[in-house]
Amino acid sequence: MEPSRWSKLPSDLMQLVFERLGFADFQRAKSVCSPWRYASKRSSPNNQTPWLILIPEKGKDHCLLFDPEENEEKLYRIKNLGVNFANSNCLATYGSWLLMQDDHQYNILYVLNIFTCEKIDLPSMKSQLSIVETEDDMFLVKLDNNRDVLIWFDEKTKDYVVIWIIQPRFLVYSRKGDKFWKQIELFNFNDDMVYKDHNLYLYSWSRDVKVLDFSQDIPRQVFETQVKYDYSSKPEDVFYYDAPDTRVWKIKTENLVVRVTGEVLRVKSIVLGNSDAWSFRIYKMDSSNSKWEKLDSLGDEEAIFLDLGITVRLANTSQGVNGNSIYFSGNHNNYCDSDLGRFWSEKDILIFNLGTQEIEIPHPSIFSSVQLSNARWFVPNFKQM
Amino acid sequence: MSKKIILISSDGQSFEVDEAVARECGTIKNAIEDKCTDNGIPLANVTSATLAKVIEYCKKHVEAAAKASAGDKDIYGSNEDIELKTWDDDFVKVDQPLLFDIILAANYLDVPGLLDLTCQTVADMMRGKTPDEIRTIFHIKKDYTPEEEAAVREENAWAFM
Repeated sequence: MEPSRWSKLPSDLMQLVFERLGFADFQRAKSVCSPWRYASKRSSPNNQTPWLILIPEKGKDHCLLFDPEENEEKLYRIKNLGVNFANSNCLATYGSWLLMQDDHQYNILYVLNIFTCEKIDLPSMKSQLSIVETEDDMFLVKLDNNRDVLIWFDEKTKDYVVIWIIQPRFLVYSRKGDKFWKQIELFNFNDDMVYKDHNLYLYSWSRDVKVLDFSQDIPRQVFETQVKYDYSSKPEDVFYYDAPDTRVWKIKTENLVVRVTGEVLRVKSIVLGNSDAWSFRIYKMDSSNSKWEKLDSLGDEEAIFLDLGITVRLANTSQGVNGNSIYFSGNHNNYCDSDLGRFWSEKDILIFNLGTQEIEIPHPSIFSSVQLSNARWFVPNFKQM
Repeated sequence: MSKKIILISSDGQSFEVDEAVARECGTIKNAIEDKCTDNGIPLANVTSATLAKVIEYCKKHVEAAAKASAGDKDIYGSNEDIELKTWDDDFVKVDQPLLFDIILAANYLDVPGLLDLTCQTVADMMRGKTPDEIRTIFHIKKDYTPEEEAAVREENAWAFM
């Protein structure tokens, strides 16, 4: 075969090959030769599989990445992230972008691309509208890595939204081009939120879901669930937040997940007081849109990534991610309940298998080999389907 | 009896195939519909070895589709899918020059399933390999200057560990 014939494969066909490569394989393949590099600029890898980002203990300017689909348990190291990174906490991710908050000066927030190191500063919290004056620096708080904050980022247009809930009264947000944070008044505690397709899904304490449309200048509510809760329902369906009786299931967290299809799920994690048993319950809206019904299985081709509020569809070829499972980490402790805090911390990554109803720790050898301050799932190159 | 279509490879060999098989190729389907098939269809860009493989693929997939719609899909369905996938996996175990030619032919003749299968095969060959390993597998010469190469590695240094 004449040498380098493959480098002369027409560019549009080469793109078809590149689109079938995983994220890391794509980066390596594009550097094979100039024609391939050219083709890679017009395509992007196929990646809907979450990776793990492992953040070492404080003060380090590197982090580690893990691709669950690679055959060996290889950790990629990203170095030279800078002094800023070493002194910041990661609050949320979207695609390859991390939302970071300075460890000491809490009003300093920025967005960082973990691969290109591109940094976008967000307006200072101190520039917040009139609230700051009256509420005594209430906003200069360290965010607790929980679901009160999220980021959405469009890789192509570099459009972004950062949303932050200041319970229970306000939601503040900042979009690309904003010089300060804008606010919306809320009227309820919110347990969780998810952003998808320019819609913000808010899950309130009263188990209602509101949807706000963020595609226009001013966000506006476009939907709200109208579920009538029957508080006289049978005891096994009712969970007590703070029951004195330790034999009862207590709720640890309530999360919202928006499926690939756009369907909204509520995911409740529950623990049996005074024991090590914990489990998850999933609910989806029934067809009449007025009732939550229990969902017992996701099917073998779908998995929930709780931190990201999404589900992923597993292709036939993907190894490394289990279907019918919930992937979660300790990054969403909504309840500062010391009694329940023993179950997991920010460094823990766990999988709940809906079929067997058991919790597993994936890749234990990785976690034991490094000292971490935080571990999160993120999806490099994430493009919403 | 189903109509036969004659396909003529670039090196002059004629292949007689059922119309249903020929229609798996988008470009040939168009030629059939435009009624220009009387003296056979010359395919200037496809050699006989490659054309034989493309026809083999189309034949198998037409047969599989017929079985699926005729038979009881509930009982046989998933076994047939697995059997077809296994057949596909064996089908692409060819030497590289032929694989290369099949990709070009699948594109030229517009056979989406075959194009998908072959591109996926190439992607699978690159999985987990370093750039040097990929160059070895595909007999590609490195055409970067040392400066260019350094720049490329710099861009994504983390992936090259």
